[in-house]
Amino acid sequence: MAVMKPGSTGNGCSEANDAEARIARLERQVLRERMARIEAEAIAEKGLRDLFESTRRISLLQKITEIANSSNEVNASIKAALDEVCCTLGYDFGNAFMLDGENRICACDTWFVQEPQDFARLVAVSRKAEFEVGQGLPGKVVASGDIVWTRDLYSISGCTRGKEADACGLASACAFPVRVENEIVAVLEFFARKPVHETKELSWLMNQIGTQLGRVMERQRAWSLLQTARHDTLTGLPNRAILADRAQAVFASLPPDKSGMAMLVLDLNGFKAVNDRHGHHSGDKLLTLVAARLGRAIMSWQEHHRLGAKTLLARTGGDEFVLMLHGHLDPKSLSFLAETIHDRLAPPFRMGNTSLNVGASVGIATGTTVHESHDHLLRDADLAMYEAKKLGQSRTVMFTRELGTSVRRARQLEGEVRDAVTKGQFQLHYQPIFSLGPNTRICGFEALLRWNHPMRGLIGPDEFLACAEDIGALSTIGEWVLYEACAAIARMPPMGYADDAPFVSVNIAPEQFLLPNFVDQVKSALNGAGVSPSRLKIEITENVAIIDAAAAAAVLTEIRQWGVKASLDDFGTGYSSLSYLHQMPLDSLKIDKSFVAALHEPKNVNIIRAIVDLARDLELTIIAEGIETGEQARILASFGCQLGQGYLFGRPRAQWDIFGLLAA
Amino acid sequence: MKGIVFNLLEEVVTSDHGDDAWITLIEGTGVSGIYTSVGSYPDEELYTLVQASAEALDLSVDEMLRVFGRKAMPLLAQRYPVFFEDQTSSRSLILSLNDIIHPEVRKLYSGAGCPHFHFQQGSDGRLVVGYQSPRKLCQLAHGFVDGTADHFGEAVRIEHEMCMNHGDPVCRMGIEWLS
Repeated sequence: MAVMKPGSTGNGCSEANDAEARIARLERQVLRERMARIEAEAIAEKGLRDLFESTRRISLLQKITEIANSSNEVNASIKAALDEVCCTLGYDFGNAFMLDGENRICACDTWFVQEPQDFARLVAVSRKAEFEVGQGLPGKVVASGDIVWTRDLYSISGCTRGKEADACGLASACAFPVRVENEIVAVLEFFARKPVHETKELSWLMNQIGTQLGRVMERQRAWSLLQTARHDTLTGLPNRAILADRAQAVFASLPPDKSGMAMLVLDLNGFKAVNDRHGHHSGDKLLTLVAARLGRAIMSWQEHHRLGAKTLLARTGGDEFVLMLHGHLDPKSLSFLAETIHDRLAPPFRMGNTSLNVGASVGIATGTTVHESHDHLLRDADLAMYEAKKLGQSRTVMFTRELGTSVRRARQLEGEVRDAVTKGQFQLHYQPIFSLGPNTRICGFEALLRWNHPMRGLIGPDEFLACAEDIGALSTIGEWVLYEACAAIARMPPMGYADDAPFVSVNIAPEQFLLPNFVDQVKSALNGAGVSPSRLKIEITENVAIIDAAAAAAVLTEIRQWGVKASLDDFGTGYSSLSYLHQMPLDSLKIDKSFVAALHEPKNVNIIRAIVDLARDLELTIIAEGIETGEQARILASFGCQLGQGYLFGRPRAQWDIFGLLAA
Repeated sequence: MKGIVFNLLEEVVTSDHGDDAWITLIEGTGVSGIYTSVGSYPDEELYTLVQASAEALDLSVDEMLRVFGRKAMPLLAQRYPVFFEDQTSSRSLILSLNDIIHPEVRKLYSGAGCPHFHFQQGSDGRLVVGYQSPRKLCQLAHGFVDGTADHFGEAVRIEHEMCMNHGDPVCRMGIEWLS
């Protein structure tokens, strides 16, 4: 180990030499130590720098992920991401492009810039720039499907912004794709004054950012598909589903008195006719024009009233629109809104060479404590709209509690009438018809419909026939009446004196009379009861002839051939046209009771005389109804009126109560 | 003060005057003498060392700082080539201080108190650098600028328009390129 002990000789000179050599060795060792320190420092610095960079990348990615998680709005997310990337990585300008699906890469005016005044020129040419695939920085990204780094923009083919980037002092750029699955849907580009160095870590980061933003775009795609499903494709307005969603949210936010919300339901008048006459294409066009006018009406109303009410216009059905209003509302301003809508819809709609007039019926309901849901409010507005429709063209009805009550009553009645049909609550009462003159005797009965209501007792037809007509039950009830009348004829005791067995006359509504199977109904009723057709008389009104004179004449001709009698009811009150009277194969005319009641007036006397003369010429029997006094009967007989009915002869009574008259 | 500044001073002193000069300085001033670039050390130790070296070299402290800065620059370029490789001139390197160099410094030493420089570029090419630092080391900055110019083969004239050492609220240095 002599080498390790250089000073071991005893010589003084050599001791000095040894000492020098030792110092030199130590100095070399100090130098090595220093170099070792510097190397250690370099290693430590690299470790610190790497740690810093990776912490920064992870924190940036974390922020981008948060942005992607918290937003469904693509542009806002991209804007926030551009901001974060620029601020974290020290880029000066970030800009986004979207792919339009047709190989165009279009800037979407979503960008971030650190110092706007310094980059104005580049921003100006970038914010709405467009590139083909393979052209420019974004085009190169789409073509390569990968991140592009450059420190020389001019080296990229199709570069259009080199001059502006130079002018802004930008030295380098990079751009990377945003993907949904494997499809590139957007490109983000960044420019920096400082030279940007491509690293594996940075590339990884950009890819991750692209993936995160891709998630937002994927969600937005799904959302927009959903929106398409939730929007009316024709007018672009929200549909019933969106209306229900929003209305539910608004209703939930209302104060306990439910004020501050209103629904306006609007239904076009005559839209079906436009569709039928001009075709669905015109109908569709009209709907879009109506939607546009409604939009303008609402805007103009909002400007004038400055109530700050929020509105949502939806198309909820073929020609039905609903406007939801939310905010400070008062009845006066709502009326004004309806007027504005009517005014806007009033001018004709120009469609090609034709112009169409389409009004609307409007129903409005405002929230009150009784409302339990947005749907309840909408139902009330709907109900008001139907009332408006009944009033005629371009009318508005505001829902009131009274309206609700009356409509509810009507609905209840409808239900009860339906029940009455199935539960057999209808009955026929019979009013006797007598021959007038000295030898007065019973000739027949008029069958009159009564409803034996379980709670209200006997109800006359005036109270329920209109309702039965509304619910389409009129024909069913009419058919029952026909069968029951025939059955009653069969049950009638034989008359003691007459050669002619008494008839039963039955009132037939036009709806029933003009049914294609009415003739069959009559035949089957007669056959079913096994009664002679001559015992049945049907009473129709002038309306039958007005609706379809030819069809009415054909039906009458056929049933009269069997022997069924036909009478025209309420003569003199309606149209009373002579032109159809002689075309109608009839047996008798019935003079309305209003003329009989006013027999003391000379004018009525003349009318009755004229009717009687006319009937005589047409060989029709005349029946007068509503005879209450012997005097009336005497006068009518003196004019030549053959038959009569009224309280003088007997009120309508149940079958068991009346047929006894025949035995008398 | 970051250890790197002590390391640079050591290297400047050692390369010009030998290892013993540095040892003499350390032992003469009683500072610790243990400095690594990744550590931080009391500012006073640096001031003491600068003061002592100025006395030893018969220079004023300001002159000493300028010499130190100028001579430190090639060493910095050797140790941190990344700061230089993207720059084409001393002007661009100086202008990159806030945006590139100081952020890099902060990567190594979170919370490093780097001064912020205000640049004002005159139409005549003159660059005015303003800054405010409690260390008031504008003469060291002066030396760094000289060294930077040397690195790029340029010559500059520097004028201290304002100086915190003379009671001004900020230091302001005008740099004029001569070639």
